[in-house]
Amino acid sequence: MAWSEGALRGLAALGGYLAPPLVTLTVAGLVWEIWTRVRDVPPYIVPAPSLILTRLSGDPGFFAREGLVTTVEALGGFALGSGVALLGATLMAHSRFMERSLLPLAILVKVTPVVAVAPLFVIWFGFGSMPKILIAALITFFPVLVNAVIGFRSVDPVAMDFLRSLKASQKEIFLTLRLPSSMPYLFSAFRVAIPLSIIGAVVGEWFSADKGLGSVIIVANSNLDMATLFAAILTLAFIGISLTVLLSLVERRVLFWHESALTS
Amino acid sequence: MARVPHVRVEGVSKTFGSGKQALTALDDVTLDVAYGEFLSILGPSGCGKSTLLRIIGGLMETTAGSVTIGGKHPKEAQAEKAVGYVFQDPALLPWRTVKDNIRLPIQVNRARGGNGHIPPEELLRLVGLERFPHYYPYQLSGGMQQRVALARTLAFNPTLLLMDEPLGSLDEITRAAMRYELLRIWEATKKTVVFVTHSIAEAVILSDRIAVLSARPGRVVGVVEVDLPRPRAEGLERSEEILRYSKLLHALLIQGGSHAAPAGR
Ligand SMILES: Nc1ncnc2c1ncn2[C@@H]1O[C@H](COP(=O)(O)OP(=O)(O)OP(=O)(O)O)[C@@H](O)[C@H]1O
Ligand SMILES: [Mg+2]
Repeated sequence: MAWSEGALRGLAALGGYLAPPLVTLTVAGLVWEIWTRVRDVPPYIVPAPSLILTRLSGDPGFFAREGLVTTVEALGGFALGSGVALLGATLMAHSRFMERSLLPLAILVKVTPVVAVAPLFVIWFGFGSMPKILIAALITFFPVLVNAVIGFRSVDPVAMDFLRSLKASQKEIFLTLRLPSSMPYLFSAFRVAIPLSIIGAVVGEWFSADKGLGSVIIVANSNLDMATLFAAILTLAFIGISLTVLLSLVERRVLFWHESALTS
Repeated sequence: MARVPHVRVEGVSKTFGSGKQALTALDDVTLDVAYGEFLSILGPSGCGKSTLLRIIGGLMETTAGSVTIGGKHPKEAQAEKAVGYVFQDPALLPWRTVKDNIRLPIQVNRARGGNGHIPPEELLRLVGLERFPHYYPYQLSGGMQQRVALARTLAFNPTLLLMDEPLGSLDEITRAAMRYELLRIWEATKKTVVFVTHSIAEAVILSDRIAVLSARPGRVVGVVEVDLPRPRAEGLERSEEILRYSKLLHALLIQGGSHAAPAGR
């Protein structure tokens, strides 16, 4: 009895959680649908939601396949960009000299427009997935770097004193104190970096691809096939939301001790 | 027994900053602490008690003078894991359980094992937390957290304990109880303790000797020997002797430039 009651309450909670965004989306879709019908908007300008959904449900395998390509590129770029950023941040957090030497380079990477380097990457790295991964890595790099440097430095000074009073090595201090302390900062960075990595992969695909949702968008655009274009965008949104939700689940497990988890 | 000093503080001065902003926190402090002795440092807020402790513990350099621990430089004593620090803030690692927090000092600086380890179970029994090894710090009260911090410092069996107002963040009732608990633990482990406080009663109840520091810059105004039998019984804070020592210490504090040190606590 108690179990089913608990399950019911869980379901009710989930419903309460999902209801507001679903209602908003449905209302927006309806308004959009009615608008296109009443004003008789041509589908090559703005397709009606019903048209987009028909396109999606007509060939779900296609969008899933292309979406998977983009997701793998995005996640590859995210992993690469974050990995390099964490390495750089480790160096920078330990030495002001390193920080001063590496920061200009990082800012240079940050201010370089992705659209400008994307064609270059294609020339350098060919038409495979490599240039897409690199572009995704490039735009995830900076937010992770900046947050990681702050995170590695934001340690409890008293805990730091305790470790110093034991003559703990820099490596031990990093592993036992700096890295775990930085987790809240790292997760904030990841939450920004994951959507960015998807954008990076898509931009990469614009310039050179026959695979992935970015290329689907380019091709659909040149064919004035707006239904496919919007379906691809919807698929991208779905990927972004799924990855973000996944990240939140991991975060809740890792940061169980943090104020953000304890107060909610 | 001859008084071989465990800690020797000789002519220590400490100045922060330079030029117009220079601030002298400690001025020519000389002090010895014998092996197994419980010495309290008593003084008004801002007189340099924490600074003195940090210098003894090797966390800060002196501007003048020197400190030795067992004849060695504090940094060397640190490397040998001979110095155990307890701070006012327990500063436990919130992502570790009580037991894993207690293991922390054993996990770092392994090369110089120090004086051997005490098993976490035994430590938890010593501080009365044997039922909480798997709790996280946020599930514990402030007093319990401070006991974990104490257990963590005892875990690597340091010969010297440096305590910077370890009971300062506790309420009056818990604090009184923890005093006797601390005494019990100290009597069981027989370590040298340098204990910073600004509670007069606390200093008298716990200490063998009390060094009184003047208001900034901190100088030693006087050292009072507490001639009360051990083990010290609970309820000491209401005895005649405490009052006698309190008056004496209070006079020293006033002489050192403290404005309104309460005679009570
Ligand atoms: N790192 C520092 N840089 C500059 N000034 C400092 C530093 N640490 C301490 N001081 C100054 O030295 C003086 C003594 O500080 P300290 O913390 O040792 O006092 P305290 O006796 O422990 O006081 P309390 O009882 O309030 O803890 C203070 O005036 C403080 O502002
Ligand atoms: Mg202090």
